[in-house]
Formats: sequence, C-alpha cells, structure tokens
Amino acid sequence: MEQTTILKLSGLSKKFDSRTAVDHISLEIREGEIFGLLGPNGAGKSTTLNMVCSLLKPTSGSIEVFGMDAAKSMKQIKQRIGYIPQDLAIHGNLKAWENVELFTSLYGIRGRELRDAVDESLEFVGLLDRRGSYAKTFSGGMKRRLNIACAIGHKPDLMIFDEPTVGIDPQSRNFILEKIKEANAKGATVIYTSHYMEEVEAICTRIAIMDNGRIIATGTREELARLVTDEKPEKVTLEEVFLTLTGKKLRDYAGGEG
Amino acid sequence: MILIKNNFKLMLRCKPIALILIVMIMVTGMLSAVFHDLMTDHLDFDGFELGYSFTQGCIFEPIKPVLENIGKENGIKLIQLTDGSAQHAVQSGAADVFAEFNNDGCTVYSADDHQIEASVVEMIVSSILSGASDVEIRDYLTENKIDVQPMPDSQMYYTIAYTVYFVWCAMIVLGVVTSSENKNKIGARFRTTPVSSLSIYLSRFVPSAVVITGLIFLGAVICTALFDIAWTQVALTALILLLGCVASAALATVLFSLIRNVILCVVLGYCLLMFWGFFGGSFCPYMWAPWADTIRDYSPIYYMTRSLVELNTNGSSQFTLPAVIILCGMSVVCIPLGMAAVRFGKEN
Repeated sequence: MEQTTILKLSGLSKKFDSRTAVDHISLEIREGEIFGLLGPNGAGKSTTLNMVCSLLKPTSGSIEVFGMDAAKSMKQIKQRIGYIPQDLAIHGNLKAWENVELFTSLYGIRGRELRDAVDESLEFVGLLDRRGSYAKTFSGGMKRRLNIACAIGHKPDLMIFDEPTVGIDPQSRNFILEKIKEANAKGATVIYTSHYMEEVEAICTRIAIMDNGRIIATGTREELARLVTDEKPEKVTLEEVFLTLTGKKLRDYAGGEG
Repeated sequence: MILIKNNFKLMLRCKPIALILIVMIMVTGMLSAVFHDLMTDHLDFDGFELGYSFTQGCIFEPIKPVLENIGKENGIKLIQLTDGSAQHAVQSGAADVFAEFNNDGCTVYSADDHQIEASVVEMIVSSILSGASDVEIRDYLTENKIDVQPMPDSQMYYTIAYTVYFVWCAMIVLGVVTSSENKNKIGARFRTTPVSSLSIYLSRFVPSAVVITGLIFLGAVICTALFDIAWTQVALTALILLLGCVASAALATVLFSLIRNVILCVVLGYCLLMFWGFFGGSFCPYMWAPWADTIRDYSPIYYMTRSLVELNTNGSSQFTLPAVIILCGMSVVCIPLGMAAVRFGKEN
C-alpha cells in the first residue's frame, strides 16, 4: 500500500541578498518515516526546515504539508507540526510544567486536556518527577528533554528535530533517540537533522544529504552507500558516504545560514 | 490567558523589579527631606520690626489690638509711629517694614532687602481685614483681598512627582519578559505555532500594565504612610495614575515590539523618560528659561504631576482634563500600533 506524502517540497529556493542558501530542492517525506537531513554547516538544512515551519518565506517554489499548500493554510499546518529547535526555547524562570503548559496552550488546548498533556509530555521525556523545578536549575540534557516536551504536548503528526542532541552527554542523547523512535512508533512522522552520523544511521529510515543548498543524494543508508561503492555497501559507514559526497573541505564561513 | 499568566509570573519572579518600588520610596524620601530643609531655611526668620500708623479718625483703627496680638505670637515687634513719614521710618531703620493706614486703605513700605517681610505684613493685614466684623471695613477691603494659593509641602510634591515618574517604568517590567524571550529565542518558537498576534500582544501588554499598576499603587500607599501624605482627591488621583500605567504599558509594548534589542529599547525609553521628567517637573520645578515652558507642553509627566499636585492641594486643577485626554490618547495610539508591530514581527 502506498504511503501518504506528509511533506512535499517542489523547486524550493531561498536567497539572502546575493547568496543562495537553498537552491531549487525537491523532496517528498512519507507518513511514518524518520527522515534524516544531513549536510555540512551552511548546507541549507536549517533554512529548509525554517521554511517548512514558516520561520522564513521561500524565494520561490512551493511547500505542501499534509496535502495543504503552506502558503495558504499555514495555521492548520502549524497545528499539526511540533518543531524542536536547535536553540533551547524555554524560560529559565518558569517551572518545567509551566514551560510545557505555555507552549502546549499555544495550540488551543485548555483545561483538563491541557493538564493531562503537560503530564504526559513530561513523563515521555522522563521529567515528571521534576515538574515543579525551575528550568534554569536543569542540566543541559534535562533542558534538551524539556525542550522536546514543550513541542509534543499537542501530539503533532509531524515532528521536526533540528539538532536536538547538541552538547549533551551520551546517556541523554541515547534517551532522546529512543524517545524519537517511540514517538515514531506511535505514529508521528519525524524529520531529523544532526551532525552526528551514527545518530542518523541508528534511527533514520531514509536520508537526504544536502550541500551548497542542493540535495545531492536521497535514499536509505544502503542506497546511499551504493553511491560510493559497489562492493559490500554494508561495511561503508554513513560518515564515509557523507565525506565522499560532500568532500573534506571545511565549510564554516562567516554569516552562513544553516 | 496562559501566555498572560506565565509572563505575569516571569515579571513577579524577577526580584530586581522590586527595586522600582525601593528606589521610588528612597528618592521621594530623600528629595522631600532635602527640599523641606531648604524651604525651612528660607522661611525661618528671627522676627522683624513693623512700624505702623493710623491717620486721625481712620476707619481701620479697630484692628489695632488684633494686629498687636499677631505680632506678639509671630515675633514681630510692632512700633506705632505718630510722627514722620513712612519713608523716613524705613530709611532711618526705625522699622523694617511700615504699614500706613488711612481711610483709603493700607500701604506697606519696605526696603528692597525686606521684601519677604513686606509680603508677610500684606498677608497678615489682608487676613485680619477679611475677617473684620465691622461691615464698613469688610466691604471696603473686598477690593484689596490677596488671593493666596495653597502650596504643597515637599513630601506631597515629591511623592506625586516620583509616583508619576515611576509610572513610566513599565518598559523595565516588560523588559524582563522580552529579554527572556530574546535570550531563549522564544519569539521564533511562537512563530512555529498557530498562536495569534493578538494573544502575543496581550501577553505583553496586560501583565506589564498590571505589574506596574500594582507597584505604583503599593509605592504610593507606602509613601503615604511614611511621609504622612493627605490625599484630598483619592479617586481622581487613582484614575490618573491608572490611566498613566495603561499608557506606559502600551508605549512599552510598542517600543519592545518595534525594537527587539532590549538594551537599545531601555536606553531609548530612559532618554525619553528623562526628557519628560526633566521638563515635566520631576527634578526641579523652578528656575526655568522661558523656552522650557514650551518643551514641557510635550511631556505627559508635566500634565500628570501638575494635575495631581493641584488636585490634592487646591481640590481642583485645570490640568486634569488635559492629563486624562493625553493619557487616553497615548493608549489609543499605542495599542493598535503595538498590535501592528507584533503582527509585523510575527510575519517577518
């Protein structure tokens, strides 16, 4: 049975003055996938995700989410997306439950349903016993988990994780990856960006590699491996594939947009 | 509602906000004391010598015992001179001030260095004559009645001046939320949700208006208790302060919605407040060059302060209506402007 397309990008571009951050990319993400978006710094990953979440307006091209045109139905689309930003978007002077309540309420959830959603979200990320603690007292890993809890209270159909494991210990990272798989198993489609190849390799069902604003390869891990070797693709790591396709030259440059 | 509630919590949990209250009370107390002492220095006098004379058969002669009593109670030495002119009496030093009564009225003479004493004598004579029982005298003196404006004491003036001044500190209160939002990139997160611009606007405007109103009224109550302030127009005073708090919160929301940089916003707001306060009577309510009178007309602080001072000393003020109109006008302009700024920020 053919899976429903959750996200469809067609000829999507974004220019900042004379620099092209995203250059005519087209992509389809299907229901139930954990889709990995890989690329060196400045490849255009975050810019692409920001356009999907309506944080940036595309210069050209179209975005369809859940079969709806993002240019026309963004409010309905936002209702079904959970965006977990790379930067921690939580108030340090609010308690854990207050942060989750705040962001969940933005989706129109109220009363008993809201209180239940707050507790479920905190339980999902393992912070229910710390619900009354101020976010500023949390460790880096706990803040990352709280950041996730804030984005899942409204039970989104599409979860977008923008480098959610930056700067945290292996235990917290493993916990987050397990939870992403658990959310996916419950029916959520996931888009996941990261610089950690082993994470993408461990959880993503399909991967796109971006470089210089373009998608240079898309497929499962095995399909990508076959792009660089014909012999024993299972022995080629995703990092080797990535470096072969994108090169070893450093990509950081001033003023770059992800 | 939850957005409003949480921003309210963020403001109340920021302990430095209490500094607004503490500084308000400290500055009021300090300036009240300083200007009270200065006023005492200038008003105290060791008494002076008042020469007086009545022409023969003068209709004012019956007030003589009253004049002598007042002189005795206030350290004024009265000397009745029956010969020589007033000019001679003053020039020779026989009296510091000379009051010459005849049937046409009373003329007060003094040298340049005794102008204050002369004013005191005028006030005393006026007040005696206005209370005189003799119908002929009283009728005559209605023409010469001196109109005296009641003056606020330094505690009253500076309590009002600094209550009004700190009304405009809503930008500091709102800065707590804005700086937390900027630091944690909450604004970008909001834009990924279906929350409306109106909700975001209200979440900034309502808590800042409520918190600044609470602080100001609490400060006013504490100042009233500490400095023994007798408010005579409580309801109108409260109304003007409330309108000021609403206008202040509306202005702060516009500033923070247009300018994302908290430091820049607070600096701009502080400069505006200094300008308004300086020309509006928060710092030094006298000794202005004439051009300053024109500038003060652009300060809402001037209208608020003057209105509240006059209301609570005279019982009425012609500045009350302009103050109410200006404050309502500011809110009417700033609220839609702030909503537009929030919508623009959300969409771009």
